[in-house]
Amino acid sequence: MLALATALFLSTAAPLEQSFVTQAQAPASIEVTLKGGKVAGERTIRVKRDDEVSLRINSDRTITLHLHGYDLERTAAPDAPAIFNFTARATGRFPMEEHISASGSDTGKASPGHAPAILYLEVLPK
Amino acid sequence: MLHVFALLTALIALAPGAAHAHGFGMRYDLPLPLDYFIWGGGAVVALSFVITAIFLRPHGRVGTYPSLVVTRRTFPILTGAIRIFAAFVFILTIVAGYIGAQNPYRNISIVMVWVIAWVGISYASAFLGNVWALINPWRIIFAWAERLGQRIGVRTLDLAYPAWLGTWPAFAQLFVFAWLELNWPGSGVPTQVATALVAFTILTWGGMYVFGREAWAKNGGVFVIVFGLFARFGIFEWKEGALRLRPPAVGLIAEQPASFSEMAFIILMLATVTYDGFTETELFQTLALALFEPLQGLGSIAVPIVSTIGLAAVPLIFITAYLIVAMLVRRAGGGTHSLATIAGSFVYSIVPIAIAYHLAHYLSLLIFEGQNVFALISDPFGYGWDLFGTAAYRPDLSVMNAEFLWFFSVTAIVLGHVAAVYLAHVEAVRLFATRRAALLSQVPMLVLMVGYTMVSLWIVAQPIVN
Repeated sequence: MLALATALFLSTAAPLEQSFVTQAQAPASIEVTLKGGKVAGERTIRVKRDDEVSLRINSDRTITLHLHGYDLERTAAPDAPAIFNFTARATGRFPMEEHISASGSDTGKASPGHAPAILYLEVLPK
Repeated sequence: MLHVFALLTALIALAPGAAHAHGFGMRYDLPLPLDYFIWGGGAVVALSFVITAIFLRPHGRVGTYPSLVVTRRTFPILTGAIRIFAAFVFILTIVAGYIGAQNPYRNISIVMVWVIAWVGISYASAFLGNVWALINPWRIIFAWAERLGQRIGVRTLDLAYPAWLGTWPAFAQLFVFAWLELNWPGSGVPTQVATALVAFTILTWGGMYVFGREAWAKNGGVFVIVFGLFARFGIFEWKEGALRLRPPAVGLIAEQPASFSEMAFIILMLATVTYDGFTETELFQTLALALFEPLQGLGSIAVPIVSTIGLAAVPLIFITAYLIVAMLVRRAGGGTHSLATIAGSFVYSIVPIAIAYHLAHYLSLLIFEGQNVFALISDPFGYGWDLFGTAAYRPDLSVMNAEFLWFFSVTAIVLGHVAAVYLAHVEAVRLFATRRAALLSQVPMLVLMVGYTMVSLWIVAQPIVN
């Protein structure tokens, strides 16, 4: 049983799925366009850990976006896209939601999970 | 597809809490990759055969286990101090809920209830032992009140607890708790959580006043039972005047069959946490929408109706499946025992599977959202205090990475399955006269356990959607 557990550990420690990006801090530029606050097509954006992410979001209406986990907030307007620049240090699947200021909480931060995610950012291990 | 999106938006617009998956906080778990899933599934099936093979050989006495005395001392000052601290934290949580800032991240009550108490004590119980028996603030404060009452001549009624009622009061409370955790928009609102705590306190102390403290705790104390079951997996136990160390899971070897209400409680426990995970999958969203569509004419109550149907359906399906398997076990074992004995004896062996899924499901919430408590102890009411100089602390998401979370989830689920199969075998050997009957009886049980474990792995492999 211990041998099996060890085997399980060893096999999982070296994932079969080979990453094509190996150098640290690879730049990852992504552009997304929102129509009526929604992404047309794929809602999940994938980057690798330690990537220098530059996420540019165009929107046909003014919208304030909150990226959970990394806790970043930017506003996109029809003539000015929102730009999120950050290093993807933490792995995980992070929802980006519309920030609704009328949520009643005193910082204006919407309670988590109460709005549908506009998109998800997956930061995968390298 | 657009139609689905429109419906989804309608669903969320109708009830702000509809898409709400937890009492508080978010899990940022990445879906389990395929290779982890395959390894986990393979290990589950292989280890099931290994354990079965071990049981083909003759073995000694079952139902006993080795234990090591750690200490016979009772540490009255230390335990007294812990009790006072537990009562203080309990009162602080309620007070903070009412007088503190109403932002869930700036009021200690929310993190305390959903993360530290609900998830943290579950972990401590499963890994260590019955910590709740030491820190249960409802029991502690009631015991103090009893002592005070003795002096002024007030006593509890101590009516005989009706046997037919069994643990159904705890069952009902667990269902309500799960419903609130999953559906209630107020679960992130400090005053509403504090009010729920006060209501629970009135119920608990009322029950203790009418039936006596221990009689109520045993039958109606929902967390006494949940944490108590988890603690039977733990490696420490207090028995015969000593703190003892024992192998994990052996505390779940049934001393006597569970009653029907206890059996239903255990399966409800398993079903609600599975349902919680299931609600975060795309498949669930599709099913919920299909159910929602014919009901949307009902307006705003359609969403709670859909979620209540879902939360009631899963335990019903689980209980039915378990009873069918218990019937098959009974037949395979020669039909010498009643169905009640069979179902009540094997149900404890399901507990490790519930614990494993619970641990896998909540680890990231505990590790990441739990860190909020460091800042909140310095400023519990969100008044801008900095009592311990930690008020500016923010959760560090890099303390644990995806690989560790994946490895932990798969290992917990596989080991939980192993413990379950082992316990079921101990029960089978104890109940059935011949080894052949014992082994045959385990075929349906093994199918159920492998099936359930694969469902757990499948849920962990799904991306979380809200």
